[in-house]
Amino acid sequence: MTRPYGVLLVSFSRHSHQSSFVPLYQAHPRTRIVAVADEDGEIDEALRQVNRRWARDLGVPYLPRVEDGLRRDDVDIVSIAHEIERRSDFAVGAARAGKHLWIDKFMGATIDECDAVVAAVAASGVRAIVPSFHYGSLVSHGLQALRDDPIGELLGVHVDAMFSKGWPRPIAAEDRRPFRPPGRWKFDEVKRELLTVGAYAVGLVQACLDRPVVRVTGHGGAFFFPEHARTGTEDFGTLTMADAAGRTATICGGRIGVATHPAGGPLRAVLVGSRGTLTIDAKRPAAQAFLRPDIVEVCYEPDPEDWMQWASGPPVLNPSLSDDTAGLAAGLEEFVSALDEGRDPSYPVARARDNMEILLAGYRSIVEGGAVVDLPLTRGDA
Amino acid sequence: MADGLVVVCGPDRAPALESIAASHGLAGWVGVGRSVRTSIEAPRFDSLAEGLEQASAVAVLSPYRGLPGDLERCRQRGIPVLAAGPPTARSDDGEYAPGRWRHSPTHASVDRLRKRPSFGRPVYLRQVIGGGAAGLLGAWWGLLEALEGAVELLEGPMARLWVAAVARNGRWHATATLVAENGASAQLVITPTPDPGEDVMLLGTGGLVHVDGTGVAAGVRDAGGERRLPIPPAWPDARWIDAAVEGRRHSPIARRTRAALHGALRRAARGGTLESVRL
Repeated sequence: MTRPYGVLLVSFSRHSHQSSFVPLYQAHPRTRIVAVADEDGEIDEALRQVNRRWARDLGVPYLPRVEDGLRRDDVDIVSIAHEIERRSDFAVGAARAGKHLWIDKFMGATIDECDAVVAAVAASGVRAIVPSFHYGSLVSHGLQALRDDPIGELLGVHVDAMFSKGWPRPIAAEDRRPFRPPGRWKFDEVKRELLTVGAYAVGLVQACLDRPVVRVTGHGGAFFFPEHARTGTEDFGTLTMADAAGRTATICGGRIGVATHPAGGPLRAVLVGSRGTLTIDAKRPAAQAFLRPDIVEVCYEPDPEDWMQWASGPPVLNPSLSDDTAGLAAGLEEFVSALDEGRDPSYPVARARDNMEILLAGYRSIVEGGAVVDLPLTRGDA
Repeated sequence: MADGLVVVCGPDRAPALESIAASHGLAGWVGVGRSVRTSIEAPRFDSLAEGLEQASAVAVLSPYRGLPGDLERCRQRGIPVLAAGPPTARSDDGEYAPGRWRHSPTHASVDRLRKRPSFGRPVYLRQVIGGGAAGLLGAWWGLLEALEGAVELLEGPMARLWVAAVARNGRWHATATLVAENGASAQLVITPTPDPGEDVMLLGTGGLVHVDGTGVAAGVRDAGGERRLPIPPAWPDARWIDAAVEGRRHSPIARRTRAALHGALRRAARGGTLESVRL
């Protein structure tokens, strides 16, 4: 029998999803976690301790330099979940070392960094996947529904994606700062939510439109959280797009606060065709639970240690029947199949780069007061 | 409205005819645009000119190219007309009776809920509504209605507006992205299929108000699989006619903005562009 693919876990940084990947690697018969690594000299003490605790709990060695992990023969896959600003360095290095890549959501902080990862993957012949935007219920429901041509020619895709997390508070006028250009994505208690949440919506737009998006305009700001206002970042934003065939797409993405949706936040789409309109709800089918104590007694206020609920969530009254709404298990299955068959995954890193590029164009539009931004972006300044 | 009402509608609004026929004495109806199918028993006229012989009043649910001429004929005969949108891009209000959307049960529910103190301030509105089956003019009327509703629900006048549009064989799909002066935004979707606009999601700082437009209330599972039995949508047209007879409102969308929107829609569809609309 072929040995399982050995997985090196690079970083458990606070804003990433490595801890969500661990049970997937453990459950899959073709993957095995072999080590945890990070750059000890560059990270803070809290993360150093978190990394070590995970290595101890998993019963694998902790490597204080990523390079040490890349030299190991038992490492086949590098699971990269460092801060977004460091991911491209690790991804390029791992690809050059001949390791396959599992990358958490975003390959880099700029379009040039994303390009570098795409180029390194192509040059080295390794396989790489960004699993978050193509294998979940939203895209699978959408593609399944479109397969039978129920709405005629597709003319537009419109997606609303929101996370019902965090504890909104009033925003004082003096807290507001000018909208910050893209490039730095994460702060102590802030993720840029048009990117973080909107990327799922853009994933459906990509899946449905077979031509590239060529024009984008955006709008966003801080509506719910003083943390976003004080950093000049957005907790909610929208994009309007046109593709090369003139079709339209609109999306919203944001973190809208706890207890605002029975299934953790709306994730739904409307696909407009020449003969009909198709509505998709990624959170359905769902169970409906009306448990009195969960409604009248539960405290929705988040843990003070996880105020924005990066790693926790409120009780869900209407849980989806799917145990893989986000599609991470399906993504791993696709990745392992791609490795076994020596092919690229169905959503290769170039598509993940395109997803990021659309969002970057939206940010640039917001900075420029809603100006229409053409794609592809000019390299070197995005 | 008294007996003798003649209704003009296109394929985008044909389902609304049934509720009008049920609540008003229809002298007949006129179908404009491509095929208009309805099961109502009232006579169908080939044109409004033909229908005017029987008409004591006219309600225009959908736009069409010959509307200005028909309106002039009605004026000459002294027959009152209610139109759900402006006669042309550059005309005065005239017979335009804005606010049909206001009589939708969906809008009424959303409007009531957003006025609760717990809703907070508006952040974002998503609405899907028909109109594009009646071509450019239909998409334009649809967007005007959606924008009027959005201005009310977002509690602020428009600061910026973009549109995108795509047309296939006379059927239009358009979107408008509106940013209000208070920073709230709306994404409004016009479909090329009949749709009274019952899919509305309004986000406030206090939470979410959502009316799911799929309208499924019953389903059958049998040997042939599953069939969903929708509750017929509640078209607001009959109540709009009654309310407009009582007194007309003014549209919050300025005439020059209406004209600019019409031109922007045309350019967006021709060039596949995102068009900014001068407000």
